[in-house]
Amino acid sequence: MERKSLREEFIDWCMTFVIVAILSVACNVVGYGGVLLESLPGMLIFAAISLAGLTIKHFVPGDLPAVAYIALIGMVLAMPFSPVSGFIIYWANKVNLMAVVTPILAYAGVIVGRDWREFVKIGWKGVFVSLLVIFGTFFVSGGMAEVLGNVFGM
Amino acid sequence: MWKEKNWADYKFHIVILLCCILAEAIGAIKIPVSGVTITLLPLLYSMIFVLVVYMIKPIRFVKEKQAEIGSAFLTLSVAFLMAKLGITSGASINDVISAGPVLILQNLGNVGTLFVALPIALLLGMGRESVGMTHAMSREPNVALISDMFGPDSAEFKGVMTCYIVGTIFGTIFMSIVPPIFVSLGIFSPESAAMAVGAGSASMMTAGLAGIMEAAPEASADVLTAFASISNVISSSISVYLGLFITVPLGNVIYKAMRKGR
Repeated sequence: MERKSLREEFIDWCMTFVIVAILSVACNVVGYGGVLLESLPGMLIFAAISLAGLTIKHFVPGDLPAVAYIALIGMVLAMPFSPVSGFIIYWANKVNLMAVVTPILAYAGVIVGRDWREFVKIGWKGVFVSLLVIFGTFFVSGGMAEVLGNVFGM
Repeated sequence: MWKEKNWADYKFHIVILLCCILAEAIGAIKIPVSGVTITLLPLLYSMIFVLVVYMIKPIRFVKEKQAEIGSAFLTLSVAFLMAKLGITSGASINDVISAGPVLILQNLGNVGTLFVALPIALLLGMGRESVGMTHAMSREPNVALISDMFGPDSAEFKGVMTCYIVGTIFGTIFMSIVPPIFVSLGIFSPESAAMAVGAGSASMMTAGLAGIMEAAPEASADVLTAFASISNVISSSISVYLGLFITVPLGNVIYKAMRKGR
């Protein structure tokens, strides 16, 4: 597959974020008592941070996922020493976390639809073991956090 | 040419918008089950509504092609979410730092599950696919890793795809039910549970996080969010290395040992 130019990708990212922002604002207003105009600055902030992270990922080689850069940029900007932290946290808080998540799961719905036929072919053993893996990961991680929390005196 | 772009498929995105609005209009539904409250969140309904639309045959504009678009949009909307989560984490940076060692080390829980799930898979009579299936709570990077290591026609790859598909379909539902029960029953503190839900995909993580917040209204929502999202960033950054250097080799050892023991 030919590699898209950054300019081309950037336009795709921007258009995608416009749509994602419309969806998130709609959820924020309908589900969490958000105000339309007050939700917009947060959207711009999230989009700007995401674009920065994706651009870094485009240029930096290595296996670190783009989400790691994005989370890191968001985190640094919101830390107490950052001159923009107050502004960023204020507007980010105008958008409920779940308002950003509901659209993600809506898109996941079509993927589940596509995978459904494959899923039906998996026998009960496969489903059972896979659920065990998910449960085991949660259970062992949580158990370790409990134990380590005591050790480190959290 | 712009008509071929993912974002130009307006019919599909309008369906998504309507499903989201409907889901949010219904809102959270709380079901008390013998002392433990299970909370169903709009994120679950939005997934199910779109799935139903996909399954309705006459609706031609939400089918395989849109699954590709959906997958591209999912990746970028997760990026969007991560910006929000990063900001929340930065705002609670002091709590994150004081929990630092725990946050990092509990990610090794990804390894622990191998010792339980792999032997059980082998006892059920599975073959090499069990190594792929149990090497991690498989998301996209793990699928890519197993494909690289064993090839896309291998039994191991079939195994990792099984875990991946089951995770896609049940992961979110599972995470919105099980972790809150652990918190309600006092088995895990809300903070530990928040870290533990970070191991999966971003949608599993937020589903789990939302449930934990409902189950523990007294805990700081910002701190729980920070713990879950940092744990998610760490585990998605290291999962390939864990698989490559630890869980797949270890899985091979367990596999051989159990096969000999028979």
